[in-house]
Amino acid sequence: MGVVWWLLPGNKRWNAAASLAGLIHIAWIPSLWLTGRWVARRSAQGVQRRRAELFARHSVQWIEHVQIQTAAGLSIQNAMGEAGELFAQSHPDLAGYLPDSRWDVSEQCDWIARQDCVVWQQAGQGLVRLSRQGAPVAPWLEELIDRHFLALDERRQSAAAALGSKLLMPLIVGALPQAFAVIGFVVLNSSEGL
Amino acid sequence: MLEALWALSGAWLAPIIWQVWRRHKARQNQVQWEARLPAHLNRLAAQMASGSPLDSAMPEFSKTVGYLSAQVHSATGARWSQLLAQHPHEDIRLLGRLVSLYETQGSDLSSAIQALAQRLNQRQRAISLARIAMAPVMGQARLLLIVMPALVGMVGLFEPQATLLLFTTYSGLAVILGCVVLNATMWAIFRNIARRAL
Repeated sequence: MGVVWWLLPGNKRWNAAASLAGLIHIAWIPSLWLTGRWVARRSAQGVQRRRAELFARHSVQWIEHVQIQTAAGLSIQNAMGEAGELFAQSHPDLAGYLPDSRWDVSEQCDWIARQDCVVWQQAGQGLVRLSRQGAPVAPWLEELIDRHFLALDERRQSAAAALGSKLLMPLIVGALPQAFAVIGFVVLNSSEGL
Repeated sequence: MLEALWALSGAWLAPIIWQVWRRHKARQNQVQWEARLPAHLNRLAAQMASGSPLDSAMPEFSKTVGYLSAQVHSATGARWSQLLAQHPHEDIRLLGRLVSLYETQGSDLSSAIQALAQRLNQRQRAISLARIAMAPVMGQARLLLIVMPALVGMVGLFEPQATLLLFTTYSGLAVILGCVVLNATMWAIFRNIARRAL
């Protein structure tokens, strides 16, 4: 439309204005498309981030299941299968992080060790080593879980200590306007006024 | 008109407050039940380790955790694992799974239950520590909630007539509504800070 307007006979200045208007009008379409794409990408990233946060929070539960099952006397392969099933039941959204239970132990451990989670990486590497050595797995996993929770506690304590004076800001921003509003209203409506 | 507004808000808020209170009580009971569960599991594991058969150890456990499956078990002859698998709590369902392994494969149930109790203890401890770490944040949030009622009370002592207008005029109600909205926003900000940090 912009080109057609430009080529029409008559006043060149008006034609150019109409042509520009046409081009600007067309520019809305790619901008809408780009905005839609940006929103979709942001939303997909949000979903992925929330899933990663959920995984970071609950990943240790899979190791807990393996530890309990191996303490019951199950082999590593069976324990991992059971743990995967229980973990998937509790967190169906996170089932994608689990290895296929039909794989052999070393393949499953490699998969676990490749995940973006420190405790899973340690568990994967340790389980491969212990399964090759034929050593008991449950006590080692127990120690790993203990260390994980200890590190988690330390992180929490340091994060809470780091908050410090940051907490004062919402308190001031929240309390001061309320004080001004209530006292101001009462003073304005009192018999003496300001 | 204002009376109707107060009546409507009361009629709308009262069931919500009642529901919130009931949920809070149910949550407290659940937390207490979960805190006692590891001790019950340890007792069950000790009984199993001392050689007690499952059929004699499990009725007592069912009674102590408040799950009356003993009658169902004796009446129907169903297996313990099937009964435990129907329990609403996830950890009891996991116990059911362990019992199922014991029934089918003869696994070491006592050690498994001990490991489960230890994991639950650890989880309780982590929750307690998180609550302790979060206490300053939530303390500040609670402090914020006290500000408005305390302020209204204090001002009311000096200027009772003018303070009454806060509740009997539209402009006064607007001030109160603004304060409530501000409090709710600040509460949400504090919760967010606590969640992000911990």
